[in-house]
Amino acid sequence: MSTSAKTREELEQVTILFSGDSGDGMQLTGSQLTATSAALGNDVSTLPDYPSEIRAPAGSVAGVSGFQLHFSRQEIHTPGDNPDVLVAMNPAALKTNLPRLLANGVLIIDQDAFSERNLAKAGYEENPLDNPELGSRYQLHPVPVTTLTLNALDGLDLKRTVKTRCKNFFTLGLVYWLYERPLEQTLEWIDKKFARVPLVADANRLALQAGFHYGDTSEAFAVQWTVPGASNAPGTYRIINGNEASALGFVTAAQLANKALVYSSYPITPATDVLNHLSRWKHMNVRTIQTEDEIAAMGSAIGAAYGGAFSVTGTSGPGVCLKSEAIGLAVMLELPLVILNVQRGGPSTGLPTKTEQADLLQAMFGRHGESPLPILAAASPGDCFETAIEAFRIAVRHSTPVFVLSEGYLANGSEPWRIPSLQDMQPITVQHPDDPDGFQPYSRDTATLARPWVIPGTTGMEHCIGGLEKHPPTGTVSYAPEDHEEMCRLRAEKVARVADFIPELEVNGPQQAALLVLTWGGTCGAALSAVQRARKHGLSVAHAHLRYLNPFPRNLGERLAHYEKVLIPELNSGQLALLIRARYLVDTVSFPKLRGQPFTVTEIETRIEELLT
Amino acid sequence: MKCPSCGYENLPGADTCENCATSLTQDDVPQASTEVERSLMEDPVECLNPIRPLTVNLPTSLTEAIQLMRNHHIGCVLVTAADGSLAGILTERDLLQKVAGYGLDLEQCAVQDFMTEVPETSRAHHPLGYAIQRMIVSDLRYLPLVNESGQPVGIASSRDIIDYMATKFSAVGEPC
Amino acid sequence: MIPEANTIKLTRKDFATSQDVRWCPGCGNNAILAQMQKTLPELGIPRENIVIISGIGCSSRFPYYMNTYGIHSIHGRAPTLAMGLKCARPELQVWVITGDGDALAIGGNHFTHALRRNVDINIVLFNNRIYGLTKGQYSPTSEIGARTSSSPDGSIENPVNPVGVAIGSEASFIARTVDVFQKHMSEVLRRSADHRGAALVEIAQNCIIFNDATWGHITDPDNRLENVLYLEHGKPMRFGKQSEKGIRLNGLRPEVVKVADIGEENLLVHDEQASEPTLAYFLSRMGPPNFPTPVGVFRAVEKPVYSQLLMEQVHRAQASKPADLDALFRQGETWDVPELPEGDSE
Repeated sequence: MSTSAKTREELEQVTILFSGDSGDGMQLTGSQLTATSAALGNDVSTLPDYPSEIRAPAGSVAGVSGFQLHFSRQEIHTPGDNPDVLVAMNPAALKTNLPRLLANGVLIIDQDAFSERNLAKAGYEENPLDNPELGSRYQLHPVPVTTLTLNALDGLDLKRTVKTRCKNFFTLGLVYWLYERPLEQTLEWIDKKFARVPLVADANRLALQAGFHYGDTSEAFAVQWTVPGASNAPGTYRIINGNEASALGFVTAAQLANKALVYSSYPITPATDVLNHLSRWKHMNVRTIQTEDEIAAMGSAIGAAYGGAFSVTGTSGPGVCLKSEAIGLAVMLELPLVILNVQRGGPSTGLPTKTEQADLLQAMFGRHGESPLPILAAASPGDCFETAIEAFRIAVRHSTPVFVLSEGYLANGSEPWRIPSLQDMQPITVQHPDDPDGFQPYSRDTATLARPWVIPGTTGMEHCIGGLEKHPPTGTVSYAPEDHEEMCRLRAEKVARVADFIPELEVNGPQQAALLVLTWGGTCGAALSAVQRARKHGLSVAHAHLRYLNPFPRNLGERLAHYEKVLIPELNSGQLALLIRARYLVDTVSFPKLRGQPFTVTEIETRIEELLT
Repeated sequence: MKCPSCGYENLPGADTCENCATSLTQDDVPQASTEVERSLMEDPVECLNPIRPLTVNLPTSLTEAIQLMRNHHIGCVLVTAADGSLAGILTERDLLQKVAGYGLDLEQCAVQDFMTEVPETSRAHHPLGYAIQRMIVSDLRYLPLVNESGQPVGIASSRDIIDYMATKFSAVGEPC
Repeated sequence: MIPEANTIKLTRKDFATSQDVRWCPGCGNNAILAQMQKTLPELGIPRENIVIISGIGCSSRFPYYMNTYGIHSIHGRAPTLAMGLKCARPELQVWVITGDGDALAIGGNHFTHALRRNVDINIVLFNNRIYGLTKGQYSPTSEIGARTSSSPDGSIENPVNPVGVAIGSEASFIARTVDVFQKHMSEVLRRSADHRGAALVEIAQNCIIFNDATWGHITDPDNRLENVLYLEHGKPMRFGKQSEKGIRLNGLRPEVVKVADIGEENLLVHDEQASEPTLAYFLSRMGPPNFPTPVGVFRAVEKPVYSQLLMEQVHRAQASKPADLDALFRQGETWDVPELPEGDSE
């Protein structure tokens, strides 16, 4: 049993799904493999799959927790369609995820967990491991993980329960061997995190090495794979998920303007993490307010913006519903602030832990009256950072609330993120006029039509603003027909002019072709990959991605005209398609998906092929 | 809670340790602290070796039902509907409270008029603690066990639970 | 809010705007506006540091008529804007002008939480027991049986009173005054401004069009002394034309007594600063037909102030860690991708 009996194969990419009971530590296993692979130079993309219950009974289907990692030699844009490797730590995990495993995929099972009781809990009448079909459909590797882990830790003076917990490190070690990943980074991590408990550190280390050794010496594993590193642009990287990126973006924006950040929010899945992150960063002059409800969060955001802070409120779809009247007030008051919607499955309570993109029309039209405001959407977990900063730039420059659309898939998914250099970032200029001479609350900047952001505490500029319609530019209450018409026009024009200040749309691929795939939000990655694949097969297709949904980039209409067909995949029933159709009179091909899951690359690629053949 | 792996003090209810990412979801749920608790929380009802129930259908006469119970030395029969699903249970208590001494013509009485309708039930794999709770809720000493389709597959009685516990924990002597 | 030393002397004129006042002639709001315009300058706070936020209702026209910073916001939500503003700018003096519908119906939730958190704002609640702006529907403070446009057969709802709700919300300063009690109102407003923490001032206000004389029993000069109990901290509770009546606690029940019968030393003595609001609660239950209506400061206690606690946490955090954004970026594991040496290409 030596390594010379093993063969070695090189792969372009691997999609591996770790799944087990939530107590099995698959999130840890997955994130360690992610970090190691990223450090080796692979591009990585992850998607965790958390149980929908807070505490499900151990071994039950409701308690299955998963972590999908896609790592590759090339640049990748999604966490992978279907896994080609499934690690199932118990029967419930197998039951839940086996249907997703690709044919002839690698199936690693902790056979010690397949007890009668666990099988019963998962709803198996018979032990699936006894079914010969399993071994013929997949490359089945039942491994006595628990036994081997306990053996490896024999002699350590630790309770059995503590030792059993180390089986996730055993599994990690085995997977490291399978994919030729070095152990050093994880070993260092273990030393650091378990410094206070050296015995546990020893146990984890031993388990990791035992798993690695098992792969190396067991005849069951004859093949070792390797996925060589890609080249990312030089720099320092970390893994980041969308919610943390949004939080960092907001803090950065406030720092770039030398302002306090005030974040008002009510806990709601999947946005709560943004509040949790920001509440730990008080040292950055961040003030978080957990309000009594969603409406209070929006009201508080308005008050903070009125006071001159960089103000933002974060929520999900149901919260936006509640906030809509107050958002309308913010539009009327023309105060700079940011509203973050981390979209989830709707309507109503819907699917709190599943992703969707169905709040676009709500952002556009979800307020009574003519109530336009700019809308941005992040394209990837790391892009949540850029989008947050850009939102504040627009809010301040154009004196308007700005909607940022994120989604559950981006909020929880992660990718490598190049740590930006502060020197390279443009400061955000903020002006608070303090000259009473000629001051009028609703006077307009000639270029942007923004109104002045005069804050309380400024001598001689006292004035009252409110939700009633006004006479421009004095801002005094007015019901006169011409005043209302003019104010509506000004508010709309102000938002429209944002297009003069944002980049034009760039198309990826041929500037003229049979088909353009147009995306927004988290669908970017899958579409980009699908179009790349289709082009490799010689199809005439390009991809464009919108980060600005209102206003659209000023060249969008002109660009669309260069393509015979425009395909719009989105996780809703066709909301962007509706907007594009209405605005540009282009007969878009809508590709809706409403399954609480992101698009797979294959789905979009198939649709592209259908349209072009 | 304190992370059992690295000792870091996490906020209550945290899913993973903030320091070492160890999963905490199995550690902050109520744990059995004694064998008795563990047994009640985990041992399934089928550990009691529940008997296959006697079943009769709705129009069966009381005479027949009583004879059945006498012959089999059993305190109840389950009553099934035409499709085989559980409709009710007839127990010794029903006979005492509703039948005895009323001078009824037992041949003419159907079990469906004297049974307890739609009793609480359990599945065979449910833990003992759950079965006990069902018995309390239904105020019966007998707990019908059903399958996925609601058809009776067994009966567990409070006596069975006492016997089971006694077998496991019989070493208690008389206190002095 | 502790008034700052100020060398500029402000007058009533500084606080008046050129806006035409749109309240009905005889509306109680006119009296309140006059008092606010008189009292605010005396607080010694620069006008630019005062912000008045209102919701929706007749009361909520207020900010337009005061020459301070102001926001006329949306129905029931003024306390939420005030909260956010205080967290951004703790040094400003913030007034919330609201009404019985705005604060206790749609705004009930925010009213409760602003008081509970002890945000340093002054909530002035104009209680006219009716919805005036929408032309006369009953409100959460309307009496049961009130015949209004939306309750032509009499309201079937049990009212609450703002003082009671404020007590339940743990408010640290609670007072009641009356729109026509000019001097009293000025004094109460001043005290609420001085209070550090959330202050509620209920102003019994008369809506001359839709609910005229709802407070007649206390505003009518002939009956005022009989029907009003002026609260003064440390003083025994006495009322009546000759101050001949008083309030005594009989076990757990307050009762009206003749002072001569039991002696002044046996009367209930008002204590604004009691740590428990029990006495304030008894007072909040008092009213016709068996009791006079108490006015004045029911409760004034010192409690930690929200924005102060928040800023303490911020300052403590800032003192313990530098504001290093780059360090924040680098939280967690990082790795470096080196520059490719010359000559290598991908």
